[in-house]
Amino acid sequence: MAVSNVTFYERVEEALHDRQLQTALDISTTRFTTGRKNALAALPEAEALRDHARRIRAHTIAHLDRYLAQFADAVEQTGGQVHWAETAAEANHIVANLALSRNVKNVVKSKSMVSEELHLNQTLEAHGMRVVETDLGEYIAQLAEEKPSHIIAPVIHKTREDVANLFRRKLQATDEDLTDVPHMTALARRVLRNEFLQADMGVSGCNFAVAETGSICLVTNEGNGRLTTTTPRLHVALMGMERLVPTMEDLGVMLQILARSATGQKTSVYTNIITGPRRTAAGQPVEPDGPDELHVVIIDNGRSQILGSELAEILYCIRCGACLNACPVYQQIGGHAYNSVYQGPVGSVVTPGLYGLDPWHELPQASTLCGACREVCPVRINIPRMLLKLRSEAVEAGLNPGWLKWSLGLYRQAVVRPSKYHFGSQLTSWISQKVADNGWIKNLPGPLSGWTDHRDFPALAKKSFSQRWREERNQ
Amino acid sequence: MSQRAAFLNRIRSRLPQAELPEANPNHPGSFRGYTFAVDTPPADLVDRFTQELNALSGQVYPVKNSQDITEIIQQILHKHGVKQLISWGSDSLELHQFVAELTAAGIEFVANELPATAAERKAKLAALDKIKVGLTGAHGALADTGAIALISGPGRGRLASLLPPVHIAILPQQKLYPSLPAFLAAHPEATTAGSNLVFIAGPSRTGDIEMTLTMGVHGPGELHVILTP
Ligand code: SF4
Repeated sequence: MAVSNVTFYERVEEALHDRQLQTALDISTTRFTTGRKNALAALPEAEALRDHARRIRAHTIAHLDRYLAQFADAVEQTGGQVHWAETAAEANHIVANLALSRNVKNVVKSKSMVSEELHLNQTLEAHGMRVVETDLGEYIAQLAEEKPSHIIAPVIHKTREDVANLFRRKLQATDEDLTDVPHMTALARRVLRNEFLQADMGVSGCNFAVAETGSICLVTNEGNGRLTTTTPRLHVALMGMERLVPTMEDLGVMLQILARSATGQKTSVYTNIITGPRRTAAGQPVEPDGPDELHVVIIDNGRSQILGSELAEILYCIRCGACLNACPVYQQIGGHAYNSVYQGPVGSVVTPGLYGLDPWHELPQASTLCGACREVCPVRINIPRMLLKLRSEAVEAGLNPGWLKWSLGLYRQAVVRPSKYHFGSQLTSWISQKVADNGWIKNLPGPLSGWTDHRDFPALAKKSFSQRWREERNQ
Repeated sequence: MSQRAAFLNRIRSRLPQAELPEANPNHPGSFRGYTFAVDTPPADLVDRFTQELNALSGQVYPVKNSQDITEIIQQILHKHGVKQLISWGSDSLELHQFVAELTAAGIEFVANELPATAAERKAKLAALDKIKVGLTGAHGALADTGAIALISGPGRGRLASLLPPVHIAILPQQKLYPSLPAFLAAHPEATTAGSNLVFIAGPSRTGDIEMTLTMGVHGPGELHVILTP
């Protein structure tokens, strides 16, 4: 995966000073978190369902080999084809070959996180194909040549003026097209509808796959997931290898909590369950429409690395995005600062898990370990446990910044000797009172600025706890 | 070794080191037997379904007979100033005498069969794209979310509920279920009966621009459900 030269802290800096982003984050994360809370509160069995969903995911991952084999057999029985890709390069190769051998010129895509992992668009474009994202948010991000900044809401960082200017530049939109959000959406519908009608291949992701039936389940609100998998004669579904559930009943459990956790909706508008290509009898189609070919590409790309580790629990994830919205760090810095396909708390585990801690060791630091992510996670993934694990691995590997090593060494010196500790804490308290502005420390000098560049914190109390303890006992 | 065998072997070799809280490999089926809560009694199904679908901006029309259906469809076509529908085959539609009545009144029911060759397929799609209204039946509906279930099959294409800006669905009342799990339990064959099972909960919507709710972004912006006895 490409890593930019701009450091994590520089991106954070930029995000914190971006007023527009701050407003967008405030509105969206508040709306999503309240929506989620209300939707789950209205579901009589929400807590029991979450426990059950967690057990289903745990069970599936523990028997992943068996369920993948069952799934692949079922897909083939319905006339679909299954491809196995260990790496991103292999997956790209498979999809590009399928497209080239079928003379594909135009490709439509419905949102797929895995395809972002693969950089599939670039690969197909390098072969001269036209690739268009069709989820409205992803389409806007593609036009703007930016990356999505949220799993569920890709362009929450943009205002309607940004989008209007973009449409004016890239789609030659008229003033009337840009009257308001419904007009802008109507323009995007017209442009994208044309793409759907001309598409030779549709590429989708996969929210869930069902082992017993060989089905792929895609949930969307816009309907682009349905069009992508219906109008082109070729459908390619990209599937991270962990996306399985054993049975349709299990899928029902997941669907009861997915939309509620993601957006606070009771259900997404379209829950699209695809089982094989359009049906035929004696070589003739018996269904009026649907793709003539269905290919499922099952992708590892580092997941088996995660599986064989203490991070395996992150594979239970159903990509709802609730942990992003609930995370106080994400709420402040947004998605782009993570510079990774997967953002927020889930991303801080998945990204180093997939690609290694070097250079991703900063991501597990981007957390206050408050536990909000675990609290809202529909399958109760213990993300803080894994963040801590990754942090200590980073320390062992010597990946932490120099000032941290230096100051931790100093701290160790102090805490093992009570006299030094007391002197040190009195000194620190005294200094902190001096540098504080109205009781808040905002700017520390030199290497200590790392603590105050992105946050303020209260000055230390004049008297330490142990000092007060002694005094009060003596009274 | 085949790609598949290599892939699955890699997983097998990693599983023993996996830390998987809550997994119970020794009793693989031990989590089965979950009982879903049901919070809508049969007598309330119609009301609950109507309320939920209305909340999503979908319309519900309870009818008594085929004549009522004729009138409702005529009204909708009239409102949009059109005389054509992409439609499921009439034997997949409840109380389908209305098809003959509407045909006699000059309404055209277009089937959406897509030809096998790529060029013909695109030409047919372009022609279908001009039609403003789609008509389907429904295989079930979920009272707790207001969703209707459609299963593809002979004469039952996906495009009728997808391509036009207006979707009309005819749903027999007895096909209402309290929830998605209840529907799946009653119809284990629903998933494999056709290549596509879709649950549709209201008109297509997006909130991608400034979280402003907008209808009809890719799918239909209007959904009318005709509820037959
Ligand atoms: S970790 Fe949990 S909360 Fe976060 S995206 Fe995955 S399922 Fe949702």
